Amino acid sequence: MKQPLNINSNGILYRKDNTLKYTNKEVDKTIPIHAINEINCYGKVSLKSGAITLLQNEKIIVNSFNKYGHYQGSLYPKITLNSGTTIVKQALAYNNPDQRNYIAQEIVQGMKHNMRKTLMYYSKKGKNVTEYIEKIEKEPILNKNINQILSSEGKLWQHYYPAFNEITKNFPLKKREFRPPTNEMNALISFGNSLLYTTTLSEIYHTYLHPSISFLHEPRERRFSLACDIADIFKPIIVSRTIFKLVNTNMINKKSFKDDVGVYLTDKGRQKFIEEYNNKLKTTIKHPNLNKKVSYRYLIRLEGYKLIKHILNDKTYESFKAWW
Amino acid sequence: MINMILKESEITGVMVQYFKVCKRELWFYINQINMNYDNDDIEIGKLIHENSYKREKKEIRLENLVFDFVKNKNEIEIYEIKKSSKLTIGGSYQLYFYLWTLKKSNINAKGYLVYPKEKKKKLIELNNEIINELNEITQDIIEIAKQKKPPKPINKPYCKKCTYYELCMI
Ligand code: SF4
Repeated sequence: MKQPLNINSNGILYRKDNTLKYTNKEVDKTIPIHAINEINCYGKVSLKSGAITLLQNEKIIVNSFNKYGHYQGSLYPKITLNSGTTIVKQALAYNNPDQRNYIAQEIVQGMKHNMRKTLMYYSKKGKNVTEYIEKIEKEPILNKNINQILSSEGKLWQHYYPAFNEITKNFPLKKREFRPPTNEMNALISFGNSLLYTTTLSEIYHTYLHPSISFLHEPRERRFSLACDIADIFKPIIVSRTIFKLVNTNMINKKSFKDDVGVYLTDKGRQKFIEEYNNKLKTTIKHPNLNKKVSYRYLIRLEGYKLIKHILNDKTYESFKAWW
Repeated sequence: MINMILKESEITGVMVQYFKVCKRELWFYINQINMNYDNDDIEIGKLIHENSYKREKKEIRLENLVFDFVKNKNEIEIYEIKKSSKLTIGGSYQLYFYLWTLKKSNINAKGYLVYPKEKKKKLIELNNEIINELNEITQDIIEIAKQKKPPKPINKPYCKKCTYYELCMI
């Protein structure tokens, strides 16, 4: 199975003959291009044009993050899996309010279900989160128009995040905030969400969906908004679970953070996070429809397939709802 | 709504093969949803020298097909190399289709399905029955192309080996 490659130092990616090399003052090494599915750069990494061509040909996405772990952007290979039918129908589905609302509310339904599942898991482990579970359950997903759906989504996160303070006492969340995070828990959530976004983007690349045509989020947002749509469904079971594992087993503690214009993970802390995150993605579960084991990462791809089937009028989309 | 209009000249051997095996697979293929990412198209036009067959203007595309051919004076032989003699319905129709296409350009050809592992070789020849069937198949393929949504999954043992398995079953 191909693995993501993480570059934590500053350096240069270049091409020598048909191999990809990485160099800086300390190293000059060959990167096994056929064994990797994406490259994530956490340092300042420059790409020479030869390397870009090679990466494009090998269809490898390169994601870059700044030192706070904030996603900066991606070098997205040219789209080779191109189905005119799929893209036209994807755009038509976006443009038809009934279709768009259906898909958007289904995404939020999945998210809601998975938030509830995640909290239930900790409730069974003795964490006092019943109050939050009830709030989530009671929150209706209004779906007359996209703004209603988005506001229901926002409310669900507002019910969900405060439960974090019950699941771990180590890093109080207080309030969910964005750039730059002013406390540890916000830094962890932001970093985890960025990782999930890039994973989702790679998986979408292997479907015929266009990453910029989305349903819940507006396509005009700066990011590949379809990745934002699909990632939302998986945040509770992938990002939140990873964070609690790291924090509650002390793999990440006070020493894993730095504080200057914001709080962010140290190199070591980040590497721990990525390792645990990748373990999560590799975890497999038996899929009831496919009758075989699939990884969490592959579940994201399958979400893309389900959306394709929906827009092709083949099968109505039902979002991923953790069944275990 | 969009409607895929497929011209008869755009029909390929792979489509004929998929037609025999699974109409849904065919529909996906026609709509460029192809899970076989790595198969490059081979153009027979490049292989049959233009000089040898001046009348042959049409370009015949052979996708997804391991094949070899030998020219014999005024007849050519097409070999299609298959891994196993199982699951060959689609494969032999692919070959019938090439023979028929060549025949329409007045090129007589003989086809052989070859199974190197089993050291077997099977002659594939056109007859009127097959030609009629191919005529019907091409019309049916054009109809399937027009369908706005994919035909239902077939749910046969073959599905397990099919590259669309996950897309179909999810
Ligand atoms: S999985 Fe089965 S139904 Fe689906 S395309 Fe393949 S053969 Fe057809």
